[in-house]
Amino acid sequence: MTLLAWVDDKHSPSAASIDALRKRYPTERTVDEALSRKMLARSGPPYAPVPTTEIEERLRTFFAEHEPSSAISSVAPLGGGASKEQYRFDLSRRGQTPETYVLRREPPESVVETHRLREYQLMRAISGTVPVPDVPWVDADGRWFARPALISRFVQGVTKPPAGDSNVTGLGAEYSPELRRSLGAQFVDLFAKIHMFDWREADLSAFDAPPEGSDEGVQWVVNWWERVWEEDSSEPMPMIRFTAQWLRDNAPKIEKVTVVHHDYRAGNFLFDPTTTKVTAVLDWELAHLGDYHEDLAWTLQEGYGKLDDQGRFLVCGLIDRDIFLSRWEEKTGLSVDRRKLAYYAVMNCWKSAIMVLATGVRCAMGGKSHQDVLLAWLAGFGPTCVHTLNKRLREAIDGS
Amino acid sequence: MVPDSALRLEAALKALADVIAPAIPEDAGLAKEQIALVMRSISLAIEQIPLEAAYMARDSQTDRELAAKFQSLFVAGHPMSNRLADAISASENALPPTISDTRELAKSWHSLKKTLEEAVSALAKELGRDAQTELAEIMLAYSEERNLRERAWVASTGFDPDPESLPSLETVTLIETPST
Repeated sequence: MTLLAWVDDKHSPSAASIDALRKRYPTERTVDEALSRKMLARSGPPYAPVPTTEIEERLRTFFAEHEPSSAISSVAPLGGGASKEQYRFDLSRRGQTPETYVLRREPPESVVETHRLREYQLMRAISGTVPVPDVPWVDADGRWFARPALISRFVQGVTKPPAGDSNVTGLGAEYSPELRRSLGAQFVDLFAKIHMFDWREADLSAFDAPPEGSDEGVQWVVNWWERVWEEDSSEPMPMIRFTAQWLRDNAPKIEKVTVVHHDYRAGNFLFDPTTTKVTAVLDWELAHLGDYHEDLAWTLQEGYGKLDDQGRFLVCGLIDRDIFLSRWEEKTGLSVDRRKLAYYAVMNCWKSAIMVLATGVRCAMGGKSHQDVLLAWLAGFGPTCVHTLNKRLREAIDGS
Repeated sequence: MVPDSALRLEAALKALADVIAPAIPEDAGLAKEQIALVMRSISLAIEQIPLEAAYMARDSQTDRELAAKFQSLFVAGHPMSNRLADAISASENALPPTISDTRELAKSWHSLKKTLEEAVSALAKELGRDAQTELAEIMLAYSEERNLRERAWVASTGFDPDPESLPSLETVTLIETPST
C-alpha cells in the first residue's frame, strides 16, 4: 500500500456524505449526476482490461438493435487520450463501403468525470458550425457497453506535426512557421465560431444555462471544481481552498452566455498534414454554457504555448497572443475584458491543478482507469499549474 | 539493505527496456506508449524514493510555520486556534531524530495539511478586508515556497517551463534547524 492510500479517507464514501457534498456544492444537474455516479462507484472494483473480443461482442449486440443489417469488423484499441478508453472499428452496411468509427467508453473513473449526454448533444448541435466528428450514437447510462459510451465517425488527421516534438497529450507542440501561419488563423476563426454559436436554438437539454447579468453561473463552476477537490484530493493543499474562496468573492457577472469548449488547445484538434486544413475540433466533454472569457483564458495558458525565436508568446504554439485576441474580437464582434481574463486565468490554473493533482492521482490510487501510469505521470504537471496559479493570483490581487 | 528498493526498480527497469519493450509488436500503439511511460515513471521513482521522508519532513516544517501564522490571526479562544496548536504539536512529535515509521509521519503530515485547509477556508470567510490582504500575502508566500520544492521534486517529468532555475532535490528537502 502506498503512503497516500494509507492516510486516505475517501475510498468508501457513504451515501450520506455524497448527499452532503451535493447540497454543499450546487451545480448543473448533469454535472452533479456524473460526479455522484463516480462517488457511488468509488468503492467498486478497479479497472480491468477486457479482451477486444468482448468489446466486439458488445458492439455487435448494440448494432443488432440500432443497425440490424450492418456488420462489425477490425475492432482495435486506439492510443492517446488520458480520459476515456477508445476503440476503432469498421461498420459495414449492405452494399456500402465500410466506414470507420470510434467508441469512447468511460473507465470506472477518469481524470475528468463528465457526462456523455452533454458531449453528444453539444457535438451534434455545433456540427456544421465548426468541424466535429459525427456522433450518431450515445449510451448515456452504460446499458450497452457496461459503462457510458459515445460512438463517433473516425476523422482523418493528426493532432501534432508528424516530425514535431511535444510532451504527452499535445502539450507544448512545436509547429513550423508555415504550419503556424495556416493553422493559427483557422484556430482563432473556429474558436470565434464556437462563441458565436446560437445555443438557444439547439437541443441542449442536458445543460443548465446560467442567467446573464449575474455571477450565478460562475459560482456553479467554482462549486463544481471545489466539489471535485473535496471528493478526489489525497494530499490537502490550503492554497486550493484559499483560491476557491477568492474565486467566490471576486466572481464577475456573465454578461453574455456562450458555449465554452473548455479545452480548446493544440492536441485537441485534427488537421490534414498535407492541406493543413483543420478537420475536426475534439474533446468537448468539459463544455458548458458560460462566459467566453473562461474559454479564452484557458487557451491562453502558458503551459499550452511556446515562446518564438523573438521571445513572443505563441498561444498553443500557433499564434502571437495579441494577434490571437484582436482577431478573435474582430471575428466575434465581442470585446475582451482584461480584468475578467485575469480572473479566469486564476480559475483555470486552479482547475488544472485540481484535475492533475486530485482526480488524476485519485484514479491511479484506485487503479480505476486504463491510463493510470499516464495520470500518475501527469501529476508532474501539477506544480507547474500551481506555480502559474501563484503568479496569476498575485497579479489579480495586485491589480484589484 | 541489499538490494534496496531503488536497486530492485533499476533491475525491473532494465528488464523492461531489454526484454519486454522490444517484444511489443510495432502496431501495438497503446502498449508502446504505456511501456515508455512505465519506464519513465520508474526512473522518477528511483530518484525520489531516497528523499521522500526528508521531503515530507521539510514540507511539514513549512506547514507548521503557516499554522503558527494562522493561529495569530484567529481571535483568542477560537476553536480553530486550538486545533491548529494540536496539529502543530502532533506534527512536531512525529518528527523523530531518525525517521523510523514513514507512515506515522505521513499521517501527521496529512492531518496538518487538512487542518490548514479548514483553517484557511474559515479565515477567508471570517477576516475583515485589511486582514484579507495580509492573509493573501501569507498564502502566496507559503504557496510559492512549497511550489518551488514541488517543481524540483517532479522536474524530471519535463513539464516545468524553467527547469534550470530550480534548486536540487537535496537542497529543497534540507530541514532548516532554528539557530540557538
